Amino acid sequence: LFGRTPRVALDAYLEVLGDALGCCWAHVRLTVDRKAADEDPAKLHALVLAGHEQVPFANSEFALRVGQMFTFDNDPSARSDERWRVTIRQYSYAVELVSSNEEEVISWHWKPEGDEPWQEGNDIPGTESLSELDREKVRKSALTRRAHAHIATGQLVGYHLSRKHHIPTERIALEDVIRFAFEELGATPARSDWRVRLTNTREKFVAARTWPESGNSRS
Amino acid sequence: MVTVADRESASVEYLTEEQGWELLDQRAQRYLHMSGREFVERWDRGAIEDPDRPEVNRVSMLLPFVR
Repeated sequence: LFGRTPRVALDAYLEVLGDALGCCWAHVRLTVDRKAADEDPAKLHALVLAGHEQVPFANSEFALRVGQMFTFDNDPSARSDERWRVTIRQYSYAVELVSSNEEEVISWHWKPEGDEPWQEGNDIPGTESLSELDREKVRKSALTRRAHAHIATGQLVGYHLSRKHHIPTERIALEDVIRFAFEELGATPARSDWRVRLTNTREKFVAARTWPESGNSRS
Repeated sequence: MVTVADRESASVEYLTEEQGWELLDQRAQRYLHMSGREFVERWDRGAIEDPDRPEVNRVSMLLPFVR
């Protein structure tokens, strides 16, 4: 996740991500924008699994769709081999049904888009003069900027809960989504050592990330 | 295509901006029945209804490929 140059940091990150996704499939194809390879540090970059197609798990009715946006961040005070890092700025992870309409079952989003997350119960600053309709648009936009999950599909939609709800979550690691698919949804791993491999890649992710997990805050 | 070093199971493809437009256009046509350029124009105006729905999300995550 770190490197002497943006490209080295990107290669390190792709290696870890490839390891994690390699628990799901024998071959993983990652798609990245060319400007990331050209080490354009001033830009938001995209990284998606298989062109952002859904990729079916083996022997399963479920598929995974993965998208991330990232930047290269520079820390002049860091060791020379950790001067650059890849920082995830947005993610979208979705478990979908393998069907003609690619129906979403559950998804996890985090899209802060540079704004401070709106805190429930607080007034949204700067909206006092807006109409009720516009205030509602701003409120919904703020909801999408917090880390959240959507639960969907026709089987689950009911009176109380629908895909439109933003269920608050912590920011999550992709490894947690993969583990959920294996342990809870019964998707078939591609490797027998997937637990060890996911634990290893998640540890690298946790060691490098800049945000704490609830109950696991680090100074 | 660049192969990730020392990994037998992962490969990385880097898309140029032109290839990014092809991908975005394909996805926008498939999921939203509009061109990629129309999607970007509407997105930038804030004119995409319910931008957090899956069909939009499958396209909007590709935006950095064309920026």
